[in-house]
Amino acid sequence: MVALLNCNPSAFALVGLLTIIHGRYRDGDTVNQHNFQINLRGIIDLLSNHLYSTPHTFLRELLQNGVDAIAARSRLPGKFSPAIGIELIEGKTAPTLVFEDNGIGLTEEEIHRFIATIGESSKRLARGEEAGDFIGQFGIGLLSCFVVADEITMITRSARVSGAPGYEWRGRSDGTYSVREAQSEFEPGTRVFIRAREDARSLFEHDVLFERVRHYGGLLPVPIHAVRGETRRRLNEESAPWRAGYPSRRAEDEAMLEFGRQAFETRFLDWIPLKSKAGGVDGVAFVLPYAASLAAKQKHRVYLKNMLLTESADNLLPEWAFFVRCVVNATNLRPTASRESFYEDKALSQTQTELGECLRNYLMELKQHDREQLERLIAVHHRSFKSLAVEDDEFFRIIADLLPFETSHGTMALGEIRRNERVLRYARSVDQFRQISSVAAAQGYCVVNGGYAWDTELLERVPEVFGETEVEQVDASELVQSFEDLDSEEHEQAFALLREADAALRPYQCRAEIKKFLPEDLPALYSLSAEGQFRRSVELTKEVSSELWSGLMDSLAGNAGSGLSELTFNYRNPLVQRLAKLQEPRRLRLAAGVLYVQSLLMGHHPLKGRELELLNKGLIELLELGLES
Amino acid sequence: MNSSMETQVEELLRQSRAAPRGPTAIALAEEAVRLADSARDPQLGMLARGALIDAAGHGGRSDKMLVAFAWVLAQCDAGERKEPLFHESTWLWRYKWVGEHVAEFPHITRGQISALFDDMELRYARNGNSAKPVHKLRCNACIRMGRLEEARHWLRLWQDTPKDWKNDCAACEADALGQFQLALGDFAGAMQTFAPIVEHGRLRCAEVPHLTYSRTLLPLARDGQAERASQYHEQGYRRIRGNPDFIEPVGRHLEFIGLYGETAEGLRLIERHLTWLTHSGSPLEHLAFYIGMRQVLAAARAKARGETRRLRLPREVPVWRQDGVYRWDELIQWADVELDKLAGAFDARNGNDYCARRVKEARA
Ligand SMILES: Nc1ncnc2c1ncn2[C@@H]1O[C@H](COP(=O)(O)OP(=O)(O)OP(=O)(O)O)[C@@H](O)[C@H]1O
Ligand SMILES: [Mg+2]
Repeated sequence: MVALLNCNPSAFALVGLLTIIHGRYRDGDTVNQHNFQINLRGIIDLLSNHLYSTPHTFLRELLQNGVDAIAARSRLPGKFSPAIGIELIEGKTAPTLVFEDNGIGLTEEEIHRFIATIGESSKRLARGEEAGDFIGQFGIGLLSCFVVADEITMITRSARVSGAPGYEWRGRSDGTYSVREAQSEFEPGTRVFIRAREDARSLFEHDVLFERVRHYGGLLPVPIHAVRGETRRRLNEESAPWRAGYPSRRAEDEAMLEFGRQAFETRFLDWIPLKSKAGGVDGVAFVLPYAASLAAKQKHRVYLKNMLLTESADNLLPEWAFFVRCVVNATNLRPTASRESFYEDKALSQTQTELGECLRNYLMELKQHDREQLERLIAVHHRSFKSLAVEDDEFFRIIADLLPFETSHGTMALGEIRRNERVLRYARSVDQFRQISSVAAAQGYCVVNGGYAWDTELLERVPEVFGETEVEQVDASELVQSFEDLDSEEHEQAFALLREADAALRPYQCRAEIKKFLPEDLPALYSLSAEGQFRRSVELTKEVSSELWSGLMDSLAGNAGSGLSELTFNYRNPLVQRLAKLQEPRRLRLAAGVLYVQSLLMGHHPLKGRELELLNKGLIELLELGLES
Repeated sequence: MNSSMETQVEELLRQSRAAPRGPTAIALAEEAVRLADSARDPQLGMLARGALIDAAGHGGRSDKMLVAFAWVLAQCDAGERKEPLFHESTWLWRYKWVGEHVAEFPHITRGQISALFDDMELRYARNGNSAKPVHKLRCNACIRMGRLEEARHWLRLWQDTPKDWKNDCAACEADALGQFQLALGDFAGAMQTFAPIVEHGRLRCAEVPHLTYSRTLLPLARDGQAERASQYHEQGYRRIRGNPDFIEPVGRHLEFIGLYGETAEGLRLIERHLTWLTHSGSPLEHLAFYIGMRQVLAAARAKARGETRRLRLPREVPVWRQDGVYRWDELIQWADVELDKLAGAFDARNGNDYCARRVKEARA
């Protein structure tokens, strides 16, 4: 059982476990001294080690029960003014926390049924019943008090039955409890006493406690008061800042950004109101001041029915929206038993869509009304926006021209590229781009780098979305095709060079070609397809591998395509022109080999052993030939 | 080593990690590997290959993962450096990913596959790790090869061997066990094993339940549980449609759609995912995709009024046409050619007719 929870603590496992346990309680006797009939310690350990992430959880659970009790009382006829109070009493030996609400209270029978029975809750819905406004549902929250105390005392009087007496319940962590009629008279409601256990004393400090309660209940409409000696202080004075009214747009902006700064200790660039019907969500998204990435999931602060659920929800927004962090309240989403995240159900996925819509509409609106701000955001968050544009044509159309791309002429916005180029040429990968960008730039061509996340997908969608612009994928060998050809006389002259180069390079699966291109000082350009790249990596690895792995490399090579490479000489280069005139097989082969290896080096292709040898031998022989002649 | 090269490599690796899983992330890591190697910096070479193994292993290019892994092991075996990056124990976890995919290439022989698992077991043993995951992978490989008797043997050994922390997570374990049970004909047992994943949503990790739903579709449909199957189809497909690592499960979803004659949806999925095949996937995964694709095409032909249909297929497919108008017959014929080619190559390696039978079943 522990192993199950270890893997993924969820309501199913826990409630299942608890129903088994509670089935046994039914046999318990009816005298005053009762027994949970289970080893509570084990369960408490389970809760504190596996379910709850902090020991403060008991405050959240007490608050939640108080809020639910008030909600239950509000359903009864008759008026009352809801209130919750907290007080810390310094005792002789240990401090005691007193937590009080004027909610529905409990009758004796309800005490036995709900308080003393783990896994039993008065808030469970009958089949078909509408989801209520209760936050509790599992019937285990109260147990969290045992994480910090050995004994819980509760004094309670039901508001449901007029004139009902009050009762006092004492539960102990060894699993025993007792109930008796309360000695004194008091108003309907519930008061819980938690006496700090030795090892939990540090949690029982005024400031720590009150700050935590404010943290969990800051958005609650029920007034929460902290009592300290003679003074009473309201802990949740302000409601949600995004629900408040402001004298001006400017005041609102300032207040919201300040709220974001306090919530996340970050100076955000902007804020965006959020709403979702499906999840009953309202709140704000804050635009991060730095570029985030898809992999680093943003953590959001989420309230459930106005009580803090978690500070680290990461499944609230669609994947593309990694440029914001949010604070929201949800009323229709289902929490897990730890009450620290949401179930991934239909309501959640609908909520994700609707919240995504809010962000998207905000961006679209910026395009209309505050283009400068949009450009500032794009400069930081273009990755996030691109990942949305990939799945959303309309958004892409509106924002496309502002999105930056790397090109052979430097980084440019797509709009600028589209204005300058009739055909938008792009390389699919960073490798292909590097092979060609400087040569393309020398010819005056603009080539876009499609090698970063989402860039190729977007570029390929340009014709569909815009109609007029054509796009064309280029790689090195295609680029070479577009270079100027030699005239027939020149070609005749260069024939021997090509023939000997082919012969010299055949063992390296490379063929020779000659064209005229810029820059003049570049003697040759090496080009290799993606398949060829893979083949090279297989061969390089084979060189260092043991028998087993080198055999595997051979098998993989058998599976891959041929991937011929190409070395294109530049006839504009003076050295190449002299070689073309040379007509001497031995020297031509040596020269071709050396130029081949040099081009590999320039293109950052790691050398295979044989290629290194080719270079060394070629250089020495060329030197010798030079000395001889 | 010049430091601008180092920052370039690091920047590429950062970009690779930030990209969604698939060809872009892989290409960025590959570029980092090339730069590191051409600077002859083994430390960076190891780092970059770690990223490449991750990107390729989770992005549908297990062949590239294998190559990178071979290089890494060779560096460890050379024993020239003492840093943890150069110790094999650092890489043993990833060895499992290699083991998972090694049977998916028909050119890799049975002898090589079993030698690889022996090598893996040896390395696990000398680092004090249990052989449990190795047995699981052997079972997986045997099932992939249709060698079910051997698979039973390894399954028993896997279950009987105690685990340690190198073991897979509980979600992956359940997914694998259910998958084996299905392949070995134990439908009821498999559904029981899958229950915490697909029903309660209790077990999950990065790849589960993504893969799991697809496994249940056909068996459920055959069992007459159509409604449950189509519910799982919806939940499963949503989770896998974005990552080319999931070619095979998409194939299984297609097969399911074809069976129920949801041809409009099926054709849309084919249009959408066929590009994956040109950039990713192993031959065995392609086989699963073509099986599903053929199923959808055959259902579409049976339902269609005309002989042709307009489709947006990627340029790289051999039947590609500019006008996008395709005859059902030519599409099915193309699928058949691919299927026969792949099944033939695998059966020759596997020493049985497992794949041919699978293909025949799909044509029936
Ligand atoms: N302050 C309170 N006033 C009235 N009833 C209460 C109060 N605190 C607890 N209860 C009763 O005790 C039951 C058990 O409380 P507990 O917090 O353990 O579970 P829960 O609130 O029902 O569910 P959850 O485990 O989700 O918190 C409640 O269902 C409620 O009936
Ligand atoms: Mg509660």
